[in-house]
Amino acid sequence: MTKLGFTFPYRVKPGARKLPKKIKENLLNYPLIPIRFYYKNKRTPIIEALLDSGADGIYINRAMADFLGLPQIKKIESGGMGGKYKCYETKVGLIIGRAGRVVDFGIVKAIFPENDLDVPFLIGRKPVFEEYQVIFEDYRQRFKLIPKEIALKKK
Amino acid sequence: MEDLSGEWVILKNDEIVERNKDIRVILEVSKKYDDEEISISKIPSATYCFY
Repeated sequence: MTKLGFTFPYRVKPGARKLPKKIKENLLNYPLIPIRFYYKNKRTPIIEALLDSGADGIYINRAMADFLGLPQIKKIESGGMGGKYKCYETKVGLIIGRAGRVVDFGIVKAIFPENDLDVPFLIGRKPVFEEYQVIFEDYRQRFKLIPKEIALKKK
Repeated sequence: MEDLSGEWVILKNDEIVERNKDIRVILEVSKKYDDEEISISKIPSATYCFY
């Protein structure tokens, strides 16, 4: 895996991005990271996923698992916000970045629910936070991904 | 502004060009676009979301 560093801006929700700056300043912003998923000969368009330091790993939805033909490796239980859900562990190709500046993580572990939930795609700590120093700069409305090799050299 | 809470959308230059509550529909519809130009995104369902 050849690593690149990234800086991405926080984004307001779709539908509000063309609003005047003054209005957007009062809206919530999100650390949305451009990604693609792939498996065998199928690949998704760019997806805006939520970079979620509170999530253990990658969460995709059932529809995406079906679209890509992902395997159901084993049934597991996962939880969030006080609830527990039946999920499946699977594997999927993950690419982060866009417009030619991309990093391919290869095939990684992910989970998807037995029944779809009202949740976006989540990029949690494993594997992205294991490979990158992740800095959320809410005061600058941006977040940075610094390859861990560079972060460790600075110490 | 129209309430699109919870919907999945296809964005082209940050403009919504497709929308649907079912991402299966969005994934199918996305095939008609050059995938370098579009993004799939989800509009939050509530003002504050805690996943």
